[in-house]
Amino acid sequence: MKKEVSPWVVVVAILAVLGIVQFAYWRGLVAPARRLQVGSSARGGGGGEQEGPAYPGESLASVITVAGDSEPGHLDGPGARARFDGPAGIAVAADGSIYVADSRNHTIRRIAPDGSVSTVAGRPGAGGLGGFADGPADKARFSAPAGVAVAPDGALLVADTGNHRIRRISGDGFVSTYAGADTPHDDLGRPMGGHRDGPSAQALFRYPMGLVVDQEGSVYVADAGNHRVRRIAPTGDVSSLPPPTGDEMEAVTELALAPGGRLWASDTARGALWVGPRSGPLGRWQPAKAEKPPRLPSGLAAVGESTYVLDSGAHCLLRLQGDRVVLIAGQREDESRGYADGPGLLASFSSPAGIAAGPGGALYVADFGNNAIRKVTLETSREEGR
Amino acid sequence: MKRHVNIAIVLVVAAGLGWLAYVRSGQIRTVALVPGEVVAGPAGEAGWVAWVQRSGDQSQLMASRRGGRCRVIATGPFSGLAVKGDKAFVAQWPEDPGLLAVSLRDGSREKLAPTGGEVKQIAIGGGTIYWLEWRDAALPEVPFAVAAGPVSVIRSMPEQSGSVSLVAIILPDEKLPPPRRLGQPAQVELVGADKASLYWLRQEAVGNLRRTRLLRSAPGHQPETVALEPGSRMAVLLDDAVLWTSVSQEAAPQGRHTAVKRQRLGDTRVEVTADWLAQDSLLIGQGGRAYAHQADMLWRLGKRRGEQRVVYSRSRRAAVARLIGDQEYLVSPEREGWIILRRPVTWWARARQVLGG
Repeated sequence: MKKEVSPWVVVVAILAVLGIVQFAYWRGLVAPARRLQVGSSARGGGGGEQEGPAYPGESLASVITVAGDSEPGHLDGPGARARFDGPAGIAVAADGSIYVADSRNHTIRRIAPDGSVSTVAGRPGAGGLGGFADGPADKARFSAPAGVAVAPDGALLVADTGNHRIRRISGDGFVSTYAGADTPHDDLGRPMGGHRDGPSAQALFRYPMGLVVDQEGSVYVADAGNHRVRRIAPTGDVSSLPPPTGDEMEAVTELALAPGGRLWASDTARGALWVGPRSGPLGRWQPAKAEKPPRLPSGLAAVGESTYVLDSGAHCLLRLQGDRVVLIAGQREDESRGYADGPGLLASFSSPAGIAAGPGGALYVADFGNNAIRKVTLETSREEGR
Repeated sequence: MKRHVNIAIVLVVAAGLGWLAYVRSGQIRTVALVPGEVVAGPAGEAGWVAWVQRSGDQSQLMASRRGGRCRVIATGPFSGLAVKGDKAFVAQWPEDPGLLAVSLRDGSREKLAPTGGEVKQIAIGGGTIYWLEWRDAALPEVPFAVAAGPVSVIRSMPEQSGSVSLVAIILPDEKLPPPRRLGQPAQVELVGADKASLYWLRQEAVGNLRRTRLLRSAPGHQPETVALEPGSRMAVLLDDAVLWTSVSQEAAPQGRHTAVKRQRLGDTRVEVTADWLAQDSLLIGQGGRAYAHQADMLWRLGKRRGEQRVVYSRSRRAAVARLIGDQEYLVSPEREGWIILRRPVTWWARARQVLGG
């Protein structure tokens, strides 16, 4: 005997099942495919895997814009209204001030803890290739600076990339040349740079980009055009770290110092990361076999045991944990450039170039293509900050 | 009766001949079949039409006078082209790089100035030669290395003297969406020059969107922005005004139609001079007038909105178009190479064509 089921019963049953699924989703018992993918470590060829988050917490990063409105330009004032043009390097001072190497504006900018943006040194609006001049902040000239670091004495050190020099901005705003000499100019008036070790006033660099300062006051410079890491001792002597044995660096663009004195270097041209003792030589960092290395690694920041690296080719922020590569923020696809704040894995960047760790473990990113300074807050740093 | 029949026959024959003459007068004539690629031009003046064609590693400067036989004027690795009178200006690259003046009559050449990179475009105006050079990047793989990136350089030189000046150095806009590739210079295009200044276009990006900036450069001054328009735009410089394309002011959706804006030289007011043109219309400047070309139509634009008139509407090719004298030249890629065609656009030119000109 077959009993007929009322259609209303079927409808109620379907609604009940849907309700249970929705409830489970809310409670986190079921995750949509998107969350599973982004929560897992970024794996090459592992697209079919549906494993849970490899490092709980990374999907809880959030991204906000600290300053810049995406439109290229030079405008000081409140962060949301300020304008940058190709911010490439970034550093955070002990007082929470953020310093930015605003490369196309040929200036160094400061974001105060209250969010207001000001020009520290250099003249905006010069256009073209900038210029070179030491002197008071408003008279000084830079050429497409790409890196900035805070020295132990509070002074700022600038990788003045187009002038092939390292510049120093003292606390009172006076700009001087810290290392590097003049070199012959080409027909457009651009100095051509060179390579020479020795006293700082005679040393030569070629497109220095990133720099980092250790506790003793030694400055390490990513000398991109010379494919080397250079060291400026506190005495002013410039030397070159020995090159890797059996391998070659190309365009070394950014550096980071990790606890224990390990020096990280990103080689954007080769898509490689180098790591080793500060005295060198550095060796090539190898990810686990299944991991996809960054395509165009740029900014580096070492926070505790973790090293964060920006991939300016895949427009994302990655964390290196052991030999694994974990996606923290951005989409990690070649054509995923964009501009979106929000949860880390839904946020997007455009050729992010520089990164620095701030108080409480927050990360600040110089988002070169979006002309903005972004802040990445990790769940762990939120907890530490409480 | 017979007389009436004869008159009728004469009228019919005359009408037929008139019709044939009309058809013949508008016929598209083949100027040249190019066994390679047309890399610059056609450009011309005073009856001359010249272009640079490339086949393999070789490039040739070709010219034809008044629709006559095409001749090889000079052979070499050439790029860029501008014509003034019976003189062509081309750039030689990469061997012995420099800007050359080549006589279209006898092919004699004179080196005017050395160049430091590949010349992409040459323009002449107000007694000055301008050219756009591309300089390679020192670190082409690093997108954020502004100082070590590629640059576009605009330089100038008076026609009568050899002193070269720097007009502008343009840093690349790294984030332009494809097809721009890493390490490519900024996308810049020379529009034209009057006695006082050079007009040029620059493609920019905001987010993932493109926009075009029209700039004016006067010697010794920073470039000044004339207009900023969303999307990829074109501009032409006439004797008394500069015109550029913009999104339609009236059509909806705007993206499918184009308007043309006009600013008189020395004035700051901007007015819309044409609207509802097809999105892919080419803006052409010739003889003090502006034209818009799209697929099978050539429009002559007026000075005010609504004054545009159809000049020609029987083309069978979508191609790059230039107006040289009273002929429209179409350059079109074909299966076997490139083809250069011409068609008259004035009644006088059509009459000349009937008479065998």
